[in-house]
Amino acid sequence: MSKGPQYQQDMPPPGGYRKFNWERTVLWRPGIIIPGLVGCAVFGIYQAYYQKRHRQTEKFEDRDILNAMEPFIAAERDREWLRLLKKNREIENELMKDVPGWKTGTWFGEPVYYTLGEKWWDPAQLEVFAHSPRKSQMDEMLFHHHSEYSAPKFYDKWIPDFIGRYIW
Amino acid sequence: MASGNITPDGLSSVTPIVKTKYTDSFQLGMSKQSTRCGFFEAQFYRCMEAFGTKLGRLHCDLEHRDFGECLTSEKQKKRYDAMRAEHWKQYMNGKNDKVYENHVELGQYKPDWYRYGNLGR
Repeated sequence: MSKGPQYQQDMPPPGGYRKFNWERTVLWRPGIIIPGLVGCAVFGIYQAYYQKRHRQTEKFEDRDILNAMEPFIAAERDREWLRLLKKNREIENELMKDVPGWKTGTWFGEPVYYTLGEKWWDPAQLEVFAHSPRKSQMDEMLFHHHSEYSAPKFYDKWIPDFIGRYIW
Repeated sequence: MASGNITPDGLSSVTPIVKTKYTDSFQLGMSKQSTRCGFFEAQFYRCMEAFGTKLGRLHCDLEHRDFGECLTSEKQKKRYDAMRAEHWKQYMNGKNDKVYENHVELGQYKPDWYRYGNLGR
């Protein structure tokens, strides 16, 4: 480069700057911060790996347990279902005692399904709730709309009963 | 519009008046297979196949009625209405202190959605 116009530039002083005085601070100096950060990172990586392994193990164990218990849970569910239907039939027996021509489980003697014979067919949702108020039917249909939390909330005491009995 | 010797299968398919070679590609199949009423539908069509159309219309009446009952739940609705009316009547005559006996807990009604491919519809 040819010699152009001369400018005055801000340069470091001759001999360089003096060293930074880390003794001013009690703790914060590179010798402590950098090993601290590296240590935290290493610890974090270790924790992440082992926590993920623990979570995955627990998930697998849960799945194994559910697989093993599936017949028992299914049997329990079916027992509950049959108990419910039997209760329905008992209520119907007692309810329609004085109605002329009524036979339990049929429509005035006419069976719901002609061609089943001795076989069983589950009743539809409507008939299961024949002896329950509309609120429980609506709850059954609508409970998906709500979160897992189903206990009373703070505003439930201010909802009047004539509205509250029709909503969750 | 067909007339004469037809199977009383109702709404298992809807066909246009004029069939072209593209009709089947865009046909809407409304079979109830793999749903709740698939059993009754299969029963009805087996019966119709065995008897043929004319005799089937005569002899497959019960299967047809069962299939309709599964689709519409008509008799179950009538039973439900009759029992509800009886509940109210007994409550009005002062026999019970509440109308219905609420014994079904939430979550006890578990329809078997897993058995059918179509979410049990």
